[in-house]
Amino acid sequence: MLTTLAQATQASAAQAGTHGTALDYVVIIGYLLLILGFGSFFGRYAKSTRDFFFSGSKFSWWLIGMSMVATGVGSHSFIKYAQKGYEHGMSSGMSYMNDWFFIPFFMFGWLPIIYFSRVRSIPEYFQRRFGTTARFLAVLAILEYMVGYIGYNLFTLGTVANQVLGVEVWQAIIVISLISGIYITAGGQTAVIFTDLAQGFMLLFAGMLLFVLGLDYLAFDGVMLDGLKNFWTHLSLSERLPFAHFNEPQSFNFIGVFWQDGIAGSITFLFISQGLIMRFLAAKSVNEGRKAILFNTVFILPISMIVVGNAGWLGNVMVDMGIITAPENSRDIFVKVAGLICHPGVFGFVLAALSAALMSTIDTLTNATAALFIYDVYQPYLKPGQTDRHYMRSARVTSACTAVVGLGIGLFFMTFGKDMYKIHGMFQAFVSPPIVATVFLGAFWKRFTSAGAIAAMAGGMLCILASKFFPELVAPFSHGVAPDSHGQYNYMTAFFGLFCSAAIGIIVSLMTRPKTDKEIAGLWIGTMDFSMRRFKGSKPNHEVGAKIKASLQISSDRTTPATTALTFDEFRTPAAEVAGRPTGGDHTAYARAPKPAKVAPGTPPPEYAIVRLCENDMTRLKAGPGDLLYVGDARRWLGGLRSTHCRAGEPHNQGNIIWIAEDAFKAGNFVPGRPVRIEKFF
Amino acid sequence: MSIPEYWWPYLYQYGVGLVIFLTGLAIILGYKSCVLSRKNDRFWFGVLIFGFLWYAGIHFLWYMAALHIVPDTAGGAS
Repeated sequence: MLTTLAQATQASAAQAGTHGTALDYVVIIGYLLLILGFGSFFGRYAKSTRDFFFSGSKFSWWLIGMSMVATGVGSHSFIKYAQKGYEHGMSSGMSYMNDWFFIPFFMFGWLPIIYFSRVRSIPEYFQRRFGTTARFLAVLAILEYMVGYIGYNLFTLGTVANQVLGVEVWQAIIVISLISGIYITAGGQTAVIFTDLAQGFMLLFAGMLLFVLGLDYLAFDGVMLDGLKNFWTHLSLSERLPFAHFNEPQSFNFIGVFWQDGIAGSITFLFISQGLIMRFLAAKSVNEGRKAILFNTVFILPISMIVVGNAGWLGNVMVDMGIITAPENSRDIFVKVAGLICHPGVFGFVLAALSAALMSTIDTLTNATAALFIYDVYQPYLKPGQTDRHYMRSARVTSACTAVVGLGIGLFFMTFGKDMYKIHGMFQAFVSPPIVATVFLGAFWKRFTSAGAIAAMAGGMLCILASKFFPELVAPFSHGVAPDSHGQYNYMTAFFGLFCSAAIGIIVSLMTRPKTDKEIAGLWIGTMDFSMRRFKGSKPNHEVGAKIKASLQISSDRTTPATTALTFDEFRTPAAEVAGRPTGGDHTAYARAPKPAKVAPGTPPPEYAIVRLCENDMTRLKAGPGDLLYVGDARRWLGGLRSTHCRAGEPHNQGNIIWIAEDAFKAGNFVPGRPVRIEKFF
Repeated sequence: MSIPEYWWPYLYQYGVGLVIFLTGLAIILGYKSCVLSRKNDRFWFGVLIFGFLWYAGIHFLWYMAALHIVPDTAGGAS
């Protein structure tokens, strides 16, 4: 059936060339309008800067995990990996399946560090861990990267749109910038997450559909299994293997991809990607963040590998079978294969998926850039001490400005083409490895000093710069990979940079005085207990309880006490707890008035509404007064859109009811009469 | 008997990867960020081990398929 459909429409697709049909245009325009409306709808959920940038930290793992897919896959991914797949076979997907080795560092190190310390940006972490100079360097490097990357993505989509649909590059750039700019400015992170969810499904579906249609096409008049048989048989052994040759050719080999992508790229993605960090901070808990990364890495990445590479694999087989001629430029293989096997309308859908891949990357970068500007430039230096309402307005203005700047840079890239792309890529090769090494050492080595951090960043950049003039410096890291025609070891430069930055940082740290335990409490892996206690404001309750359902009722009590964060001194002096601070599981302690304590520098106090449940529900939750709870609409598919974090108060005896203050009810966007689901964090 | 060259990437990835992975496990356990006496942490520690085996297993099966599953006949374009 599919074969008939595809082959019947092949003529019209071929007739249409690569400029699509009217139906394709309708599908693309319809998609753009839908995503604009869908994203803008979430403007109503952004009531504070915490909502705007972190969605109130209340979303479920599947929303975070699925939206990460769309962020990670850009429009250039389809073109780039299809090209690699065409040239080298299935090993094009190597870089999608080598990320697990650093997951322990992330799940139990970096994720709890940033979540519990309430760090809002990577440079803010630099400020608190290393000081102002380090923050300044990080802001410059990360801002440049993100804004440049927005421009680069816009430029690549414009190029594809021009090639495929015949529209001018600048027209495509303006349309996409406007649409994503409007919904990000309206809805912030919530709009980003929900549109990325939709776009993630869309691009995965479109990519897999392309593969199924391709196999069906290769089956000719047989069943799809014949297509699979043809596909597999016409790939050579090296094209069927999951890895490329160990160190040949210079342009694409296993060892280069492993060190550049599996090591340097994985740490960069997990540790210094501001957009990704904000996504995890939008999760309702650290556990949900762990589920999201598990879902993404174990399940979605292997699928994504097929999604972005299959057009190239199919193209390789089709050329081998004589179905199509080899394209002049292998970058064209995606469009050539998609144009051949897709029905009009389906082709439009695949192109809309390319736009989805782009927009979902751009919206994340735009929101992250705005957050960086507000938290690392505007709030600390330009307009300190303003109300949240003021910063919220500024966040929206900054988002709009970022979209405009990204548009300008996209057009700038268009004018200067490949030269700008090369300059941007080269700049990144200089700054990413040193920043990655600095974050990693800061999070996992207590002895790492501020001087060591600055030396690692500056020295690492200088070493990478030196390697451009003296490529032989990289040769010891090359694993036998030959240099390119300019004598450069492109793949291994990241590894070289990481090594140099880390070595310089370690040496300088060993010669300088480290910060005290108190100064870095909560900012490195050895202080997770303190982090959790400070986050909660009292001793964590690690007992695992059940999740329960209850009826939500509005209470007239004022139920948001001025509880504040635990300081490091209090943490080290247990006597502070018995002096009136609430302790999880201890009913009598919480019955006394919570005693406000000093707040650790840079740490906003955890202001959670108090909710009251019946004794039976508290027992099932294994919760005591003072414990942190999550109350969300019982409809799981909302993913936490209607939910809030609370603190358990004294139990009542009125049955399966949860009492909540009206302000917390409104903040959680709850619907009157709807049952809620409650779970305890710790 | 030497190992065929096409296995080198697999052995390298899961050899060097294992060293990094075990270093990570040692750090999170050593600094008590992951406490195995806690049920939740125990679960996630198991997940970490599973993830490593999952990828090593997928890649191994993929190798087996690439090396040994070669259909006898295949249709042509004509």
